[in-house]
Amino acid sequence: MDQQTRVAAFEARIARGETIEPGDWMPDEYRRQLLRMMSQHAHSEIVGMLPEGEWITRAPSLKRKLVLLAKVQDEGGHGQYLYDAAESLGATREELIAALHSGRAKYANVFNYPVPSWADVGMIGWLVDLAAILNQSMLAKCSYGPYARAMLRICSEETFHKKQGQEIVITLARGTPEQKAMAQESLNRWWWPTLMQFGYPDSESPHTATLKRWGVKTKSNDELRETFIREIVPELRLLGLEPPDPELRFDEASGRWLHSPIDFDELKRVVNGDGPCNAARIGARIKAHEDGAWVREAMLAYSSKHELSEAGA
Amino acid sequence: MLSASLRSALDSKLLRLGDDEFILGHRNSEWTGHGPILEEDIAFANLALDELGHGILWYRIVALLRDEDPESYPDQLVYQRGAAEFQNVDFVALPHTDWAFSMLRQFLFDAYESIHVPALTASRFEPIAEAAAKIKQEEFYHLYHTKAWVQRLGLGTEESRRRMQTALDQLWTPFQQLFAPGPEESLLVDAGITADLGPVHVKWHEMVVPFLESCALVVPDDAVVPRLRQSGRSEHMGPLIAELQQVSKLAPGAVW
Amino acid sequence: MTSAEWPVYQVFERPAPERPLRAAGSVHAVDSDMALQNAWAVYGRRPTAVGLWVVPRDRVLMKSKEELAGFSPRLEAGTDREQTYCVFRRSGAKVVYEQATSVLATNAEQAMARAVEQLAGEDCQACWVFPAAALISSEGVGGECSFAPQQHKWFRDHKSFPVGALLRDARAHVEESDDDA
Repeated sequence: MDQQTRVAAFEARIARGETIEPGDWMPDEYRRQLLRMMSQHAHSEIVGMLPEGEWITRAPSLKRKLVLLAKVQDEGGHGQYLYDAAESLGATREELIAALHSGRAKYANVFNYPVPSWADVGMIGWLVDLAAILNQSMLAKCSYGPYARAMLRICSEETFHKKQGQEIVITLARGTPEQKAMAQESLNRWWWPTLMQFGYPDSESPHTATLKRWGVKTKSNDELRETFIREIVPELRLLGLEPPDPELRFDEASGRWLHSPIDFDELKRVVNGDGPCNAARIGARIKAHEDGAWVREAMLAYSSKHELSEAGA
Repeated sequence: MLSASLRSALDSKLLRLGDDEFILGHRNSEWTGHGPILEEDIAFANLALDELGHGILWYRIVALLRDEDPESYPDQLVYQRGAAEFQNVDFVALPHTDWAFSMLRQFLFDAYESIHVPALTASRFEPIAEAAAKIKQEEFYHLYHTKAWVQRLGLGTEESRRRMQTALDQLWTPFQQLFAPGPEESLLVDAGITADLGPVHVKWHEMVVPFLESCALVVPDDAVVPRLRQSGRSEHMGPLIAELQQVSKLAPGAVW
Repeated sequence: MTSAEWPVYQVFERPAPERPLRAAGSVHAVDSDMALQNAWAVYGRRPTAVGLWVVPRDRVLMKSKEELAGFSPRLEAGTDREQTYCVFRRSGAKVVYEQATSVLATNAEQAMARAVEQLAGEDCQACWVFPAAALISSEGVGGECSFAPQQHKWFRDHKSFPVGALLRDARAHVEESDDDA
């Protein structure tokens, strides 16, 4: 079967709604894109543990403390599901981690920003997790089996992350003047990085068409961004919070939300390492990994010394 | 109905129980996102969540005794007391040095709970028996987990054994403070409300010493229970509580 | 051995007491005991499981429909004794593997062939088989190990975050102020 025929047969499978498993034939580009998406997604979850994790010891109520700890733990769990899914395409966990630590691999850009205030925990939970939910809900029907399965678990856990974050923000917005000011100040810093999460405009996203054909993407970046704005702005305004964009308004004529241009140069710079916290985030991951080397070595040494046999092997 | 002296003794005992668990859970939560292995980061967070939850269970009973709302009073206890008012043993507040330290501390505590908590399920004071029954369900996994880790680290590499030994040398003596009865605690024991820590200590010792030795660790000789469970001002509680309460103090009385 | 070579274990969960097992995902671990513990941590902490199994990935034979199309198993009876193989499969539009049946076979390929035969009536999209003897179960750990506490964690319960009600309340508050204005 020549390449073209194989690709056509592959795309026909996807058009029929079939799920591709690791042993199936797939175009190299499909393999590459899926591996990139899954590993980036995994890295995002792991790095994402850090900004919110900073606030666990300072969470201002018992409810907030336990919920935040559970949430950050979930993010670790999500990273775990996704690394394992990525490994189905041939990468090893060590290789994936090395790519992150070396700066070769990318992860969600929002986590390169600092979290100086408690309100940021709420904003990240509401804004960033809502963005993630919108991105992810289409992935639960992704054509690649391991990714779809990981996403099923992640999606069910993610909706409650967004609720937790939203509840924090609602509480602050309806609280004391200091609390409300804290929430507004936080929104001012998280609004644009979150909009950037949806990626470059459709006009500059060459992969979208192919990814749609391969059952990996169902909506474009701009569509998702629009959906996000449509959902969140009325709710923010209900709470007396205003995104930092004087141009933000709903245009009746076009039926769309209009906003100021997004600074995609900033996105490019920060994604490529020049953000306020890139070094700190990767540094923390490298430190955890290096500090933990003796632990991993000890586990291996014990295991080989004791040659624990599998049941019935 | 509890007599005034029993009530007072129980109040202070419950704070000790609650503060031990809560502060330990708080320290363990610091590892989240920084653990040596992803799967273990997740597991250790479970242990931290459980310990924090256990602390809250004990605090709710304090609320009951003080005629306060059990839903909201634990927050007051955690966010409004000064560092000096916390009744935890010193060692739970020690900042961790490395993974061996935290794992060993958790193991020693889990071993104690595996003996102490079942004894509390027999308490004649219903709220304690109920709380202990809930805690007991979770403690099985804790001990199963931390025992496996102590074994693997003790018998793993020379480095891991050395680190475990250092941790044991640091923790052993302060750990014994856990078994020092508090003021008026004998009243509670006589009334069948709490367990006598003497036999708990003996059983704990019988359990952990052979086990640690089987993990190639040398157990310090001194297992003497000191008279007091807190050896004066812990230098660590000040910064710990300041951090814990930092945000809540920005708007005291506010809902977060 | 580097961490890259830590074996992978497939994890299966029993979602409720009388329900069949389903594939949950996988974990890395140095050995089977740690695999079960890791599985417990990663997959046992939500109220989706009342029991967990782990099986080393290298004991699981996995075939998708496409791979099954070109599958010619060694069917000749070997000298190995027959043993029970657990069969999990993906059928129809479902993406999750669920326990289907078990078969007797002398090796994995024979088990796969027999499983596929048995599942012929279903729209079987992919199939996994592994020897029952290779699995390690949380049900065998002993003591009062229980997933029950995970069923009742209020901090993983949606009801603890009544966002809808709070927003309605905020809306009512705004409307009230509008009325007053």
